[in-house]
Amino acid sequence: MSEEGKNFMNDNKQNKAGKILDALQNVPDELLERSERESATGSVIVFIKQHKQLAVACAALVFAGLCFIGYRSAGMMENMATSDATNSMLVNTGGTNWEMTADGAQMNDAEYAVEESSKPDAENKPVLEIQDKESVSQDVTDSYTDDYAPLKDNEVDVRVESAIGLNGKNDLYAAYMPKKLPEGYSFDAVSMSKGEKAEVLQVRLVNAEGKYMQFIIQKQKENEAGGEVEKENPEEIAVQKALPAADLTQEAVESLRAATTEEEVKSFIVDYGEGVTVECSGDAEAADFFEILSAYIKKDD
Amino acid sequence: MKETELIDLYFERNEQAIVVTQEKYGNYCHSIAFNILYDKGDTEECLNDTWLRAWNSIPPQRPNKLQLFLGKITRNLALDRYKARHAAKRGGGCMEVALDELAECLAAEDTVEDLTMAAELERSIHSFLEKLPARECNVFLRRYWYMEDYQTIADKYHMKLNTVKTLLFRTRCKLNEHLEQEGIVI
Repeated sequence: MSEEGKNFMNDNKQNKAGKILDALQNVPDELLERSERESATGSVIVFIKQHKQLAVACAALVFAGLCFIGYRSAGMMENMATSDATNSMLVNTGGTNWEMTADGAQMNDAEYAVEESSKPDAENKPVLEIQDKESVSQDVTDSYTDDYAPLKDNEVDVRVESAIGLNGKNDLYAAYMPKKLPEGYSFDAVSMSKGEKAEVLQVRLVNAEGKYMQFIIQKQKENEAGGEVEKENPEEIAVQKALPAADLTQEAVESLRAATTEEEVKSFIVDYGEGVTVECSGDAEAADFFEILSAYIKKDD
Repeated sequence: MKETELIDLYFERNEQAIVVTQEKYGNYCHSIAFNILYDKGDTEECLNDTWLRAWNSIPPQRPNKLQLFLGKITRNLALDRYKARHAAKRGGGCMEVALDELAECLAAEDTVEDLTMAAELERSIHSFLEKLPARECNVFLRRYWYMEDYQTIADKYHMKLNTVKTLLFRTRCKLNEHLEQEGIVI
């Protein structure tokens, strides 16, 4: 092909390509914005690659800052837990107490007594607190895999449940441990006790504003004779009338809480039938309580 | 200064609007113009035209995204300037290579150019882009809207140079198929 012919072909091709470029002129803003936004993220990565030492130093500073914040938060949480213990918000079920241990085993009274006696301030600790937090966290940490990913606030870490050894071991835990938390809430404390006549699961949730919800889920055991439910502490339950789960609505929760005073930490009871009652207390919004309580109904269904 | 406040300055016919626009969006528009024109002098002239056109367009227009509004004006003016210059002599830079690459997407038949066809081509390309995966679409736009070179795109999206080249090659093939399927011949 002659030089002139080649030039003509090239010009013709470029003329056509120019039309595509013109057609791209009015490309939707969203697409351009996205390409700009995501390339900005890429630029940060390139910067990190090109200035590794500076990036490492920045990361170390951020990490140190987070550690400091975490340390301060842990201190605050510990103070909260201690004050909770003195508020007598725990349910005494009598009989054998058991708690979650690092290896997931349940302890009977004798083991519990030995364990407790080794603690210098055992009397001041809440009965239903997770025992030996350090060893639990140690075991849980050991069981983490490399692809362990951080969870959102309102997600439950089933791997922690698994590490503690409760998966499938306890119906009450399986059915009433919240699987999804209201927006902004995270677990503050979870504990269980098992008596001769009842099991109790206590769950306490807090949010960043310091608002909290506490659920004391109590399941009475059926007696051998007729399968009738015998109340563990009838005088405790009888103080407040329980709301049947079938009547549970957000409005009902609001009215129940409105009927109480601040001093009573706005507690109320929901009866789920089959000997299960949930005592709720705390200063969280009624909607947040309702979210947890309504999920319990679904599980039963 | 927020974008809405800057646009308000245009509406007040306050010349400070142009000064602030140059400070805020000068680099962004400069890179668009320079990638197309590949010449400092032409780029400066193109940017001056951009500020003038923005001044004349706002009001009555009130752009939702001023940055993109200015980017589109810059690109349009730079392409016009490029075509005018190219009519006399072929230039250098990314623009040449980009045009060659895009030309491969087109069927070889010659048809009469008309506005309807241009509008149809525009609609078809937009629908093609919206169906593309985000990363592929981003890379395509960086190359053929912003006229960035392969290495710049690779750096921006943390990709290997060859990955960018391969991705763009595949996207052009897809575009070729898409235009053929829609019966668009330029």
